[in-house]
Amino acid sequence: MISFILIVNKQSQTRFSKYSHPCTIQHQQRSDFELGLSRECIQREGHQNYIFNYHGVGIAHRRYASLYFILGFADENPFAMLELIQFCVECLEEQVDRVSELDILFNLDKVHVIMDEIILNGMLVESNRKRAAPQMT
Amino acid sequence: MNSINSISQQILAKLPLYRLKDLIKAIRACKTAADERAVIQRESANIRTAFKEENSESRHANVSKLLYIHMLGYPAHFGQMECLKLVAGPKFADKRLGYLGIMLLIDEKTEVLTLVTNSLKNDMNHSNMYIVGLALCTLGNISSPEMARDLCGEVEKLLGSSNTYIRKKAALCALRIIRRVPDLQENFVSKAKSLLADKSHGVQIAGITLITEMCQQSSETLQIFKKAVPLLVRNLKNLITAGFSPEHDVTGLTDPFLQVKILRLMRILAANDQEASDAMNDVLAQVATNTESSKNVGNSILYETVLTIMGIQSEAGLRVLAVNILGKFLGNRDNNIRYVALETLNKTVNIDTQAVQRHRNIIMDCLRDGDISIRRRALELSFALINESNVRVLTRELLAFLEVADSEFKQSMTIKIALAATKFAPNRRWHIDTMLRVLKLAGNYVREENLAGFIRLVAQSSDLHQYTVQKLYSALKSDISQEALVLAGVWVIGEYGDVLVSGGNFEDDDVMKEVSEGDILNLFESILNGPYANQVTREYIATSLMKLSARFNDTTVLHRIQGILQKFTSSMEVEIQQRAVEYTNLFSYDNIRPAVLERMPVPEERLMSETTGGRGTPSLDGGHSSKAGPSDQDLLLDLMGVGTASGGAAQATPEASPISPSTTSKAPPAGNNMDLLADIFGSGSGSQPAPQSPPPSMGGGSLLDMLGQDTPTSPKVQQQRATSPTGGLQNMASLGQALPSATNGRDNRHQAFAQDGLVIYLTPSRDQQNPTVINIQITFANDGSQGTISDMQFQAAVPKTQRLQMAPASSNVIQPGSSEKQMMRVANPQQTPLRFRLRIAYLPSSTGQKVEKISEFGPFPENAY
Repeated sequence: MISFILIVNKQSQTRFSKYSHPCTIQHQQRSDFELGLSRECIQREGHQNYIFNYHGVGIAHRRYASLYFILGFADENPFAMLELIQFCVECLEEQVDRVSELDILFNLDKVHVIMDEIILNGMLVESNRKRAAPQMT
Repeated sequence: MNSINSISQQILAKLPLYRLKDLIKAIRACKTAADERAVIQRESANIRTAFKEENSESRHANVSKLLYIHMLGYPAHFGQMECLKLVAGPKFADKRLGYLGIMLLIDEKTEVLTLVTNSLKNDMNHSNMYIVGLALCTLGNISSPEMARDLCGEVEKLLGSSNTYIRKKAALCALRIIRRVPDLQENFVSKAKSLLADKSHGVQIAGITLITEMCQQSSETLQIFKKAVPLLVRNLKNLITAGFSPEHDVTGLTDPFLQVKILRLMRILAANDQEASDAMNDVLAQVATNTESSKNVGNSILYETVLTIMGIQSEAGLRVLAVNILGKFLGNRDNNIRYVALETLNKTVNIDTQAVQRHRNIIMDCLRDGDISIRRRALELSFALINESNVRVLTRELLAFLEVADSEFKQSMTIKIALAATKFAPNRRWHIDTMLRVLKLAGNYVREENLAGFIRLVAQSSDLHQYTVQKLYSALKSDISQEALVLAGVWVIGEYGDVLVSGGNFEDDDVMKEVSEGDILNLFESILNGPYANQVTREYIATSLMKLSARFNDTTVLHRIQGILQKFTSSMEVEIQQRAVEYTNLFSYDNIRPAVLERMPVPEERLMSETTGGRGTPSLDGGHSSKAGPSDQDLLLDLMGVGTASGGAAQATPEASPISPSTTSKAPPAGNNMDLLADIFGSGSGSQPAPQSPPPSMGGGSLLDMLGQDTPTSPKVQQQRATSPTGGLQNMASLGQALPSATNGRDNRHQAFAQDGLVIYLTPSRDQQNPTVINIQITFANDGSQGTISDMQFQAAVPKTQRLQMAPASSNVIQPGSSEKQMMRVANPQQTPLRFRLRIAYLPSSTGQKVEKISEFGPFPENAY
């Protein structure tokens, strides 16, 4: 099950977050948690280990330009999670050409909707890129 | 330029922030966190007033701003009602944003959630499939148990809808429902089956996820879905062999997500089922061989395949294939893959150790990797891999690693190396060498139990005393910073100091050395004055010095010893002061001082419990549960058969007294006290070589006779009589420890003889210390029909391949209604079945006639011991 999806920039600012329910991280603790996790991911760039364990949660992360896509999961195939990140990014690109940080920033609700089409409460729903496009009207 | 910027910023700051874009721009323009908080607070206040004014046009913008603020971590609960109002509106964009807001802002515990139920119900029956999808999505994310119960019927209906878009969302919604309310599972079982056969991959994925959850929750559903295994196998085959499909393709592989999910479900379904596992064998082999592993996608599928192969009851060839895949992972340069492979190997090494041995070298290399998580896992794996054949090589590597390891590893490593060395040591010298190295490298992290174990080991290996004491001496000369090394060294030098001094030259790093008594004293003084001495060290040195005073002859050295002890008598540490005063007093009792300070008796082996290999972080509890080394008091008492371990102690002590009438031996009567003591010091435990001490007495001699040589009195069978009491003392000593296991086996008794009211039972059990020895407790029970039975004599004979020791019976008179006991021990090195010829003689009081019977007792049944 996927516990959460985070998109963080290089200054550890959260640009997008989606937690699945029931989540073990309360709302108040979220910003601290995200900060710690994003620091961990950013400093790992040199060590090249993008699958690891953080406070008991399995983490897979990938860096695209200036954004870090972080996926937290429990009891899942870690390589499949990396693929899922790639898949999400490709779906986003279907909507907007060459996704950048500002695109995510200013269209936060759209990103939520796209993510909802792909992942429902921590479970994968659709693996077909064409079908994963949401209705915009 | 700057003034224009600042002016425009001031203007911007005053403008109302209508759209989400503006808010975001404003927040990004903030330079400090305090600025950001101010902007957000101002905006929250604006939004709250706007909500109170019930302005429907701006609601959308306000809620989206609120969601952004929420994501940054600020409180946003006042927007919950607004989201509900949005949902109630007709516009799709409003509904969508409203549901999104509900999903983000509201969780199960809020009471507002119940208000949502009605809107959800309406929207699930809407004609627009996207709106239905929205409702399903929301329900799937945050439903509470009450909502789940209410809306279960709707979801069921939608699960059967003809629209794939709706079906896949409904499937995951059903997942959420059965998670919250497991009772509702039955409703979805029938529908779920049809999901598997669906053409659309999305529906398949959702269906598989739903079925996985159902199977994990209840085993009856698992049975139902086992019938779906052929269908799954077919689907997977199609995926692998299908041609290129642009929608699902990921760098050449068709829909890896679906493949992984199918593999996972197969693993759960076939976990304990041979038939289902067989059905999957070839498709698993096909996946494993056809998937190329150059890219991460391929790796993910291979990984899932390996997990599945390990999880089901696959055939041996398949398992070897799986371990080989893991081996290939280990050789990959990418750290992630190695990390995952090591984790998986840790979990599977217990299942299939042989196959993992092949990759031992790579695992050894991983010990030196740059990444600490890889090192940690490689370490656990190496400990799990140690066995008799590779123990030398592996321990050498592990000791090399110990030198450079971080301190968090050192403690667990010392425990594990000690354990491995104890279990698999090829010979004593190697064992001592290994432990010495451990002490030298990580002495500060060695636990007390391991230290005690080492001392016990040294005491038991009498031939290596000189070697050990020389090695320890040179180690101490070079480095006194490791506490455990100091303690061990001090103890050993105290015990065997005379051996060290009389040993003459020995080579230490190509330098010939000879140690004199004065040198030893110098070493001790340097330890005492050094910065590492603590109370424990001082205690050890005090005792050690005392022992040396009995072994050394040089008067100047003796004076020095007395001087040091004198200094200790005024120490601030109570324990040291007490010891010093007592020892100093002992100096005035010169006649018994040597006897008191004789060599320590060899401690008995105590069982150390093991930690089972490699799961997660090594637990230190394994060290805790092993018993501490025996104290001096316990040792002596143990050897006399009274004391800590033996439950049958009460029976043992009467036997120590001289001749019991039940024996028919002609051996000499019990010796005096000196003989008893000498016997204790001269015997040790049965199978260990005797340490250098006074020669064994008569009783010990006959014992060695029995154990060592065959003295056949008849060609075929060896007959043993009950032994003399001093030998009996030795017997009781070792039998005393075996008794607890015997008394526990009451239900394990076999009847050997029944006549005249006398019933004899034999209760076998394996000796805990020596698995080729069987302890048999003989119980004579008198049911009283023939009155008191007296003059009870029981003799037994065993085949030539075995040896027998008998102990005296508790009494040779058996009162009616009671029973008496006797112990015998059979050494069975060739593991042949145990058979006895019994000669039983007794005198029942009713007839007054002596009865003598000879009978055979056949082999014990299979699992008797």
